[in-house]
Amino acid sequence: MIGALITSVMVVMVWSWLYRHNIFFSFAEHTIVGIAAGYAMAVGIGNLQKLAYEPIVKGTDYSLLFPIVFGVLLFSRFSRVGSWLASYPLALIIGTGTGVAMRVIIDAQVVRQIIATIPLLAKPVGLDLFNGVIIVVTLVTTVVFFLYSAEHKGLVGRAARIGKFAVFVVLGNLYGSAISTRIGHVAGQMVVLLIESAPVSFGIVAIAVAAILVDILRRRSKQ
Amino acid sequence: MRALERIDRRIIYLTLIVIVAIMTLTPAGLPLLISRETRLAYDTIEKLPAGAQILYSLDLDIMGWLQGGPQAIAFLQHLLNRPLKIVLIGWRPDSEFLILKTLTSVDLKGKKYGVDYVNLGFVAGGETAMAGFAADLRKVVRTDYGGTNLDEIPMMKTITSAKDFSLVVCPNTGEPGALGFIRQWRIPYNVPIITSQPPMTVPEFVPHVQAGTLVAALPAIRSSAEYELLIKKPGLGIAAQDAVSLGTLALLAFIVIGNIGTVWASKSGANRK
Repeated sequence: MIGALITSVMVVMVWSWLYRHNIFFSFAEHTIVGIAAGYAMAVGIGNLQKLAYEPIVKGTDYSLLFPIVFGVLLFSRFSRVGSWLASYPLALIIGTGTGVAMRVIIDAQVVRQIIATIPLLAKPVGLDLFNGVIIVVTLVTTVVFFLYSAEHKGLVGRAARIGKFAVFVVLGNLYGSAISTRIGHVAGQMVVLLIESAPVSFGIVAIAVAAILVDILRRRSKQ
Repeated sequence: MRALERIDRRIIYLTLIVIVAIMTLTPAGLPLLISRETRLAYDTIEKLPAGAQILYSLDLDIMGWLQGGPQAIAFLQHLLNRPLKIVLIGWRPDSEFLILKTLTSVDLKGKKYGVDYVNLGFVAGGETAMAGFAADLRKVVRTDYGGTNLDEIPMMKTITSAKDFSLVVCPNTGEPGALGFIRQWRIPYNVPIITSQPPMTVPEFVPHVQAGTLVAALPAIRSSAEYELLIKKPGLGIAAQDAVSLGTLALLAFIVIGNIGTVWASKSGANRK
């Protein structure tokens, strides 16, 4: 009951922005940002306690002191004098992350794609040859389109033109998918509001609609 | 015609909200066909041998839950319907309570905690931790979500690394998610991966499906409606499906109307000159 009430009120407060910016939207916005930050901090402290503090206190793993010290050094960014100290843990985090990803990225995102395309051209079944040719042509021409060291004239110009259309097709696809994604968000929120939080939400929606109508009438009478 | 170009945005929002609300409350029952990808994901789980160990990695945030939530629930329900061992985990802070929310939304089918499934909660460290978990999970995770040592959990005694898993199921938005699993689990350890994504990021994963590094990349919410049909448990996916379909159509109609207005305005402007 209380959960449904809070959910409905927050959803309606956020959606009230669609009418115009107002104090209820700002309240909901700041509340959500505050809760998200507080939650992330609580999870972080919980992790620190579970993964580092307890093993150190129990004396099972003193090596965990090193990551804790490195973690504390990140906060030196707030000091004018010692901010340079933060660059060491930062370098370690970025370096490790990049190294872990890079060891397989060429295989996963380049080699496997090439291996998957070769059979389409070498041993085509059905529309494979058509798909394979499209993949190769659009790949090469799109790379040419982004090649700025050669002037886009003659053969390079024609290839770049095809590449430009390939980029348009991808962007169109992404735009369509983005619309579908956003509508999905609206529908998901509507399910939360009208199904999961019903019947409490109906009263909240009615109050919000009434408030908007009153505001419209009030603004018209002022004009 | 010029008015078409300048429709008040509030009219568009209101129309959209009204359509989505009506379709949510009274679904039109539009026909729903099971796509090849959804069927493939379903069949892959169906064909797993009894006792197979599955990593269920819920990598959603709150925003992503609105779309990915129904698919996450449908995936877990399907896994619980079968005699499998499930390890639940998440690599994003929100995963922690979304795993609990998912667990309360499914029928556990009498499965016992610690014997048939275990919840490891959120694991910090992104893709680096994912790689470490794959190599030796006890170096990254020492206890389950409740603080019980992994060695005291019966199910975890036979699980030490990625090699012990038969499949990764990953409802996902953002990093590290499915891309991290492809790089750190599929390529080095050959563990098959099924993921669901928001429609916007599905095109990014299609080449991986074609290359065989992903079994399927399902577009939530549509796929969740299909999946709920397959597992015969209607849920939020089916409830939202008609709203998504007709809401998208309404927006497309507004795009067409706006473009007609723009073309008309530019033509009439050119004629005047």
